[in-house]
Amino acid sequence: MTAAPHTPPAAPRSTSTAPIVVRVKRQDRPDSPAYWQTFSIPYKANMNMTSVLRAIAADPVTAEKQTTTPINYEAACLEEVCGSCTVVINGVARQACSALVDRIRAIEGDGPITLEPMSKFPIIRDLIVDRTRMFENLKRIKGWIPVDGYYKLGPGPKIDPKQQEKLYALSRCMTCGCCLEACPQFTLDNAFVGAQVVAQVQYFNGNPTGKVDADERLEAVMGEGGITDCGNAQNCVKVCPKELPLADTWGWAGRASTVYSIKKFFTK
Amino acid sequence: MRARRFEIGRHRLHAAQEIGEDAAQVAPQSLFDAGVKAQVAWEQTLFASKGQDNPYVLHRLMGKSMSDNVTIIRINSKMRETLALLQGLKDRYRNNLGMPDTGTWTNNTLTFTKALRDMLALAEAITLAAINRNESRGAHFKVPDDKADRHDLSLDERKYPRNDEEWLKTTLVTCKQVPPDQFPTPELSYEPVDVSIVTPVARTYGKTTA
Ligand code: SF4
Repeated sequence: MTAAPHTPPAAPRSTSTAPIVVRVKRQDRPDSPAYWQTFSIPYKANMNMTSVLRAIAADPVTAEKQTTTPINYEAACLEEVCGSCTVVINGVARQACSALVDRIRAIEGDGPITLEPMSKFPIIRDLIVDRTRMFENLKRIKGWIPVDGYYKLGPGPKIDPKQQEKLYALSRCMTCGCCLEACPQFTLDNAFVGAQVVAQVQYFNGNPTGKVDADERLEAVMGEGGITDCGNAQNCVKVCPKELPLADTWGWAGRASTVYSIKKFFTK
Repeated sequence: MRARRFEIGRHRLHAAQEIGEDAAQVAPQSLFDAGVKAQVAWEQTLFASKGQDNPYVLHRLMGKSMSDNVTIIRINSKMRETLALLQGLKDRYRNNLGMPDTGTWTNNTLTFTKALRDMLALAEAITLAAINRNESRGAHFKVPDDKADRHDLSLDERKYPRNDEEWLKTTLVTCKQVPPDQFPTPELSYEPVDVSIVTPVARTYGKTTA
């Protein structure tokens, strides 16, 4: 039996049982200065970074034996589908739940693992950031299918299996923000839309029922901060943990917006 | 049968909507104010507690014992150990809690500690209900104390059988409302299962012999 195409090859695991050392960038309030703390916790097999944070909470003492407060972080599903535990681990934005200590150490050794909040979103406290911007963008593009459920509509339109497969890949987005953290164009205070929401425009516009709002969705990601501001660094493609076909998304967005502009030019 | 179930569902939904709307409109403001006041007072109690027990540690002890003794294979003697442990944890929570964070801005520890009180109460309710139900049903696999160590027997031989006569009923755990800084006392009662539409049969997964 062959493995499913998206199954990654088994990653190497470290067998080291040395204490787990983590350096955490903390911040008490949105407007207070950031500071670093180091923690060292006894090794346990199969820990992920969320369980490391929980272990620190149960004994919040730094490596220098200073008592401190537990680190504030978010986590919900613990299976890399909700995106809430996204933090920057050793310089790369990813989910704390699927960041396994043994695997990190197999590649990077037993040295301290650094944890930082994402830098492209306002900090609330410690590792918790405010990702409202992504949700506002989803509202702006009408990230839903308009279905009037008050009467029986009968079966929905059929979708070609090939199209279904394409849409499924786009539907996997969990609004984690990794693509935006990695993007050189997306900053804390500019208006750039970024890969996350453009992929959702492609997703909802590709649905036969969602199509009715296609023009509005495109309009929402054009103009200032819109898709043409993409610098083509392709970082989003590399970091997306759900492997969305983001290179295809940007290509599609360019074509779709051009077609839409021409159409608008002739019909207005 | 389908149609009838659908009707029941719809009526419940409508009833819930009516209650929901009315409740929000008729509930006096004082009810909400009292709720907020009780929560704020509780937070102050928690912040003032100067004990040694970290809430995350209490949680870990609770989780370990519940996972060990109150999951699929259930043995009363083991679950009584868990029940005793939970009593101890509740005492420690009430009398020896130490809050590792007393900040008032996005304090995860505070939220967690408050939730832990409910988790302990629920753990107790689950364990108590499980101890009382001497039968195996669905995922509940109960082994009588005297067969706990009879590993010479097969699991099927060790377990209590399903007992529709006595246990075809839903366990209800009721607690009288207590202030948030106290633990409620769970009381068990039972509600019959409505079998007027479907007659229960043995679940054998295709096996023809018991
Ligand atoms: S596109 Fe990928 S990286 Fe970007 S928010 Fe969605 S899941 Fe995260």
